[in-house]
Amino acid sequence: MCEPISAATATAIAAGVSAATAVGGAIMSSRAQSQAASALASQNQATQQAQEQAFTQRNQAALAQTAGQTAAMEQSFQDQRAVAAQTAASQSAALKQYQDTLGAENTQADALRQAGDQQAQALLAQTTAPALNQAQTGQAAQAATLLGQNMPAGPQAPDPSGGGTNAVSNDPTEQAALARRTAEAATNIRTYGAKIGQLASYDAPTQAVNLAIEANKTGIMPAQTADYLLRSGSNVRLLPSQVAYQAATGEGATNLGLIQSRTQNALDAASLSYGNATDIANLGQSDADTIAANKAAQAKADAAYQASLGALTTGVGNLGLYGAGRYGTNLFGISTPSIANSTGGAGP
Amino acid sequence: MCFHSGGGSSGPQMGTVQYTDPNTGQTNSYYTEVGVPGDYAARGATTVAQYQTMASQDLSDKQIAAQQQIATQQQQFNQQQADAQKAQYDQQLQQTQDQANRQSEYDTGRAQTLAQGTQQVNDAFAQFSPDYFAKYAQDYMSKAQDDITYQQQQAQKQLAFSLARQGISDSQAGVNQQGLLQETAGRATAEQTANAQSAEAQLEGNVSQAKQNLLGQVTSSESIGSPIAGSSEQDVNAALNTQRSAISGITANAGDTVASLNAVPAVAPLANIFSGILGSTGSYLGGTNAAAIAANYRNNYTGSPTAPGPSTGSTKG
Repeated sequence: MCEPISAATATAIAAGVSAATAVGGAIMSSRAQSQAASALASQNQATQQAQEQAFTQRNQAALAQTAGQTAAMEQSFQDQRAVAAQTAASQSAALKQYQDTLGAENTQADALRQAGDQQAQALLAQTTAPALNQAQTGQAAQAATLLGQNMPAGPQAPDPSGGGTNAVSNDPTEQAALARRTAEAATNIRTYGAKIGQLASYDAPTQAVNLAIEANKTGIMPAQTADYLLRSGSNVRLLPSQVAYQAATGEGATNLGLIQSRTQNALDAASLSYGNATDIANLGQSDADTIAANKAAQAKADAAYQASLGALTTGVGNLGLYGAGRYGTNLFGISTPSIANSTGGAGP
Repeated sequence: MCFHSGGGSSGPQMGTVQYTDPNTGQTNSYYTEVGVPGDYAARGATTVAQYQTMASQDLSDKQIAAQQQIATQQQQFNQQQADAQKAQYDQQLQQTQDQANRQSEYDTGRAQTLAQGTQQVNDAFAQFSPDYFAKYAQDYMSKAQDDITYQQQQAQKQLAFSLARQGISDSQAGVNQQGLLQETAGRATAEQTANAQSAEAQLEGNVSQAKQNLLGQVTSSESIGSPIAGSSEQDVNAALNTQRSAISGITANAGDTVASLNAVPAVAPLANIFSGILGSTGSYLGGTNAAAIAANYRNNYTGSPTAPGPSTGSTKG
């Protein structure tokens, strides 16, 4: 059997235990506060890491978007330059074809116009005042020539047979007289013929003008018709070059539209990738923040719970110390009669 | 009471989720945070956050794939439209170029036909030169002169006979009458020169008009045709052949026209240009004879040689 513990000893033990309990509660509270602080630090660290990670992801997404947009636009510019060059070359070829066609037609038209010019020059040359005067004098001269070539013969020498135009005597005097009269007649005939020729020659200019006009009409007629044929087919010959120009323009516009569409698609893809990557980064960051916040809140709640337990423990310890002081041996010489009186058996 | 675990759960609620692989049919259980679907658990997701990230990534991949597919289809459609447009342009270009080639061939053929027809007409009328018309006038004069000469010869004979009957062949009166005959013939010839020149001018005008008419027919036949070439090579050749046939018919007529213009000069028949002279000569000589008879009568029956008649104008004096 153990020897019974004295009251003083018991009191001392109780006081010690109470003190230890109070200290333990304080330590527990302190540790809980430390855990709460640590949880907050962990939250901050997790949030920072999540932000850094998300920032890196967003940054990389932005860089990828920029690279994609740059590549798309560079390709677009390169393609557009090629299309523009091709379009310009095709348009230039069409314009050249148009000009060549016009040039060929103009060459033919010039040749036809030269035929018309020659006829016009001939017409003008044939109807000048000197030319008309010459026509008139030529007419009179021709009349004189015709008359001279066809001047009637005078009386012929006697025909021994008694026939023919033997109206001339063998008498020299008669013949001389007849010669004088014949010469006189010839002179009169020429004078008369000259008058007739002169009178008829007045029609010569009009006749020359009419003939010149007829010749001009006849001369330019084939060229006129050829010119008409040339003009009538001109539009048909020019049409291919016009269509070629329109086709070049249309194809160029269409190809530019293709390039722009392709470029826009690439830009849209880059934007979509960027947006999605950003959203995922934001989601990850948000999740991490939420998880960290949840963990921190849980840790702070646990710490608060531990702190409350610590406080409770400390209170129990303090209560024990109070009881030891009130009802136990006055270890420190302090008089505590009220307590001793109230509790009875444990007091001195 | 628990002094160390706190008042509630300090971490995510965990649980077991099962997933059956549709490819293999194998079912596995995964211990994950509650809320993680089995397929994502099978892919390694253990938390809801991982699952959401994976799901977001899957959605992003699908969106991008869909966008790329749409873009590809749009590009293919655009390319098809562009190809169709280019094919249309090429076809249009080919058609217009073919039509232009046919038009040039058509116009060239018509121009050549026109030139050939013109040349044939010009060849047919080449003989009508200034010398030709001058010769025509000369021929006219020759024919007219034949008539004049014939009448003149007859008149001279009649005059000679008349003078001989009167016995005054060698008289001044006879010489004068001879001169009158000469002058009358010459004046008739002179008048015929005007007619010859007029006929020459008329012929020249007729020739010019005929040539113009023929060329007009040639050019008209060329102008009547369609100004636009046919839609095929056969159409062009058929049109050209039709016009060549039309022109050949016209140019063939050029020979007939020229032949009709080559007629011998028609000289209007002359009237008796010496009738007046011969008539007046007869009257004159009749009067002379009457005067001579009267003088002889007086000389023979009255013996007074007076009342001389008109002088016979003998050149012998």
